[in-house]
Amino acid sequence: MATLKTNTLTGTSTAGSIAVTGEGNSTTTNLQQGLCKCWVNFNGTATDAASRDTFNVSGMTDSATGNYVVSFSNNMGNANFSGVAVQGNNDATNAGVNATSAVGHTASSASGIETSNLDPASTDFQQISAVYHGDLA
Amino acid sequence: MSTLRTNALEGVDAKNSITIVAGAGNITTTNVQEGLCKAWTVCDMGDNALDDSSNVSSLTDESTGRFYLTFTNSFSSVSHADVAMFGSNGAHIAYSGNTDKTSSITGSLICSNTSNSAVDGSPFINVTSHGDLA
Repeated sequence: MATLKTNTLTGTSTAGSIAVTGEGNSTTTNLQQGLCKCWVNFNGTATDAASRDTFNVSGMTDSATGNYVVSFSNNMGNANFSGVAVQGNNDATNAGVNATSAVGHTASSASGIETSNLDPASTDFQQISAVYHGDLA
Repeated sequence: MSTLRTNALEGVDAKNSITIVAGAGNITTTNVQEGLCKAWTVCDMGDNALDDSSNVSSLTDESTGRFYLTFTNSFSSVSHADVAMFGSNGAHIAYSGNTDKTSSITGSLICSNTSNSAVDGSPFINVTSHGDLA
């Protein structure tokens, strides 16, 4: 087995573009485009929406009940990135039911997340995860 | 175009860390290992099958609409980020308090319909998990 050992990967024709052969051994996909650019797991009930673990997150803001802002360490190239999130609670009976989330594209530097019950009223939840894909700046 | 052929990638200074130029401006870098999705599946609560998956070993049906996934290779902590989507007509999915997440499972997720009643997610539920592997 061949193992390439390196600290950095850079495309030759374009620094930010490397093609990788797909699982079917015929088509190619783009390594950089396929990478998740940011992920976060945080507690929406904690002070300042404390994050438990993150990648490419510089800070969390608890804007209001059920409203949070995830700020990126390295910004996206524009506001048109893709963010998805899921929310719920750890320890309350059936707390995951009656809950929805929305991810807003605030700016290239941050994303808003709103978690709600189905009334719909903004609600804090203990378990909130979000992942982001798109182009870095 | 130059083509590099290899079967595996490994960092030199740290095996688990490779930097990659990924910005639209060809300057900003990100981390390959951190950015890779560590587990994903398309599954179905109708037959509790994993229709396709990577690094997911099983789906456990806890009750109507409620399930969790077990990872083949566990995460290093409980703080992985799992997101999911299922169904149609306003149905939604959320974390549930029934079985807490650990480094080796997603924790309970529950599918509900627009009447807020638990329903089996079918014909498909999509789940992806990001975080640090053990």
